[in-house]
Amino acid sequence: MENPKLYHPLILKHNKHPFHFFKDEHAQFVIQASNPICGDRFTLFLSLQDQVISQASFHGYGCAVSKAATSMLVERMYQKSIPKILQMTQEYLKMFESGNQIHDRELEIFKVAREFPGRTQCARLSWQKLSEEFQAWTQD
Amino acid sequence: MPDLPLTGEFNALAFRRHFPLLHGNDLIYLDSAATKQKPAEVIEAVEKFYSTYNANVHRGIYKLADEATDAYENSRDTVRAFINARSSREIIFTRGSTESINLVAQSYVAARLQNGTNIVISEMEHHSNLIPWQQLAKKSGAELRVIPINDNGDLILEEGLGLIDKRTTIIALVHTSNSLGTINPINVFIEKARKSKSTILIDAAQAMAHQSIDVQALDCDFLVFSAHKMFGPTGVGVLYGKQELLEEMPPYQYGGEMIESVSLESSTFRLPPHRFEAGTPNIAGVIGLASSIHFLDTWKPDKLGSHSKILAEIAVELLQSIGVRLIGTPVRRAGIVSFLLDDIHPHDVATLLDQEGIAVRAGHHCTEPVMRYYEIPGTLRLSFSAYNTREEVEQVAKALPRIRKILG
Repeated sequence: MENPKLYHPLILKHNKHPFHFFKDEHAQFVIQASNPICGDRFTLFLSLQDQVISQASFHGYGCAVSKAATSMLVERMYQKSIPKILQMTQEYLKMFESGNQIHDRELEIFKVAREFPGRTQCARLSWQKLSEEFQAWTQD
Repeated sequence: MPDLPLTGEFNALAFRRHFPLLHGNDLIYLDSAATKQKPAEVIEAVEKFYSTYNANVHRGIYKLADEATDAYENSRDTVRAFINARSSREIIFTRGSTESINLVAQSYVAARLQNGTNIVISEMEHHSNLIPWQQLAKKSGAELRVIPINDNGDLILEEGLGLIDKRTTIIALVHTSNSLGTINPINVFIEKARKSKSTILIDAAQAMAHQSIDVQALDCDFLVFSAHKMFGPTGVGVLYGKQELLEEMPPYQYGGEMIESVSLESSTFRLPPHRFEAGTPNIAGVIGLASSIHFLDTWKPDKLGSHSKILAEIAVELLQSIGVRLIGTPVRRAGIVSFLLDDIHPHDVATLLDQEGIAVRAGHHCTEPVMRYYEIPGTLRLSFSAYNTREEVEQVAKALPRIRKILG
C-alpha cells in the first residue's frame, strides 16, 4: 500500500482538484463519455473560437483514474485546433496498445493502468469518446 | 476491538484445506457471491469423467456410454434428493440460473400472457430475473409489477403482496439478494401465490450453498440455481419445476436428445426432463454438480451459511466502526455486505484492496435498479463463504483506513 502503483501523485491531485470541473451552460458542444459497465459518466463542455478550443470544462462521476484522465485532457485542449487534439488523443490511446513513449511525457503516468485488470478503460474513457467525436467531425 | 460474536465451532481452516486454489495461498477471496472456489473433490470428479469414462449420454450401445449415462442420470437423482423434489423428472439441467429462468419465461409464461395479465418481480432482482420478464411484458402487453424495497434493502411486504392478484401469471422472486444480502421471506409470497392461483418461481442462486432448500416444503412451482455458486463447475445449472407444469410446457430448444421420433415433416418429443435438454448436455458439469452436492451434504449448507452470516455480521460491525456507508441493512442478512467508503469510487477501493491481496467485487452487481434506488453508481461488495475467516475480515477493515488516506 505504500506504493499505490496505479495512483501517481498527479492522478491523485487531479482527482481531488480536477481542472475546470463545472457545467458550462453556454458551451457550444456537449459530449458525453460513459462506461455502462462501471457507471462512470462524464460530460465535456467545449467552445470553439477561431478554429481553436477557447473554453473547456467537464462534470460528472467516475473513479480517480477516469476523472484525472478527463481533467488532464480538458487541461490540454485549450488553444488547440481539432486536428491537433485528434492527433494528441490518438497518440495517447495508442500508448495503451504499444506501450510506447509519447510526446507528452506527463500523460505516461496512465500507462501503468495496463497492468491492472479492467482499469485501462478508466484511463481511456473520455479520450476515446472525444477522439471518436472529433474524427467524425473531421470526416463530415 | 469491539466485542464481536465468535465464529462458533465451525473450522473454516479445515474447510479451506479442501480448496486447492486457497490452500496455502494468502489470497483473501471475498467474491463468493460471484462464484465459489472449487474443492478438490469436484475438480477430481470432472477430471475422472474425462479421463476414465468420457462418452456421450443416452445413445451409445457400449459399456462406456452406459457408464456416462448412468453417472449423468444419477446426478439428476442427487439433485432431486438435495432439494427434496418428488421425482427426478422434475430436474432439468441447463447452463445456469439465467437459462433456467429464460426457459420458464419462453416455454411456460409467454403463451399465458395477454393484455390484462401481469408479472410480479421485485426491485432487487438480478438482471437475469428482471430482463426476461421485462421483455416478455413488452411483447405481450402484460403489466410488469415490481415489489418495492425500502431503505434497509428489504421488500415492502404489504405493498408487494398487494400487487399479486388473480391475473398474476407469474411471480419471479429472488431468495437471497446478491447485492444487498437480503434473505427474502419467500414463504409469504408462495402462500400468496397459492391463494391467487398464480405460479411462482424462486431464484435460489445465492441460497443453495448457504441453507438447505426443500421444494416440497416450500411448495414453489419453479426453482432455479447455478452449480458454480455452490462449489460446482461453471456452465451448468438446474431448473426444478413441478411435474404437472413441466408436462404442459413445449420444448424450449429443438435438436438431438429431446425427440421421440422424427420425420421430415414432423417430430414428437420426449417427456420432461429430456424434452428440455436438446443437444449434448454439459455431462462433466452435471457430474461436477453432483459432486458439489455430495460435498455440501457432508458439510451441511446450513452450517456453511451460518459461518458466512457470522462473518458478514463481523464485517458490518467493523465497517460501521470505520464509518462507511452500508448499502442494505436487511432484517435477515446472508453472507453478503455492500458498502461505500466515503465518496471514493468503488473501483479505486477494489484496485487498492487487490494490491493487498484482497479480491472484492465493485460495481452494480447486475442489479442496476437497486443502485438507482440508492442513487449510487455501484458498491463494494464483500461476499463470504465458509473458507473465509474472521482474520480475513479484519484485514479488510485494516486496509480501508489506509485506502481512505490515499484517495480521500
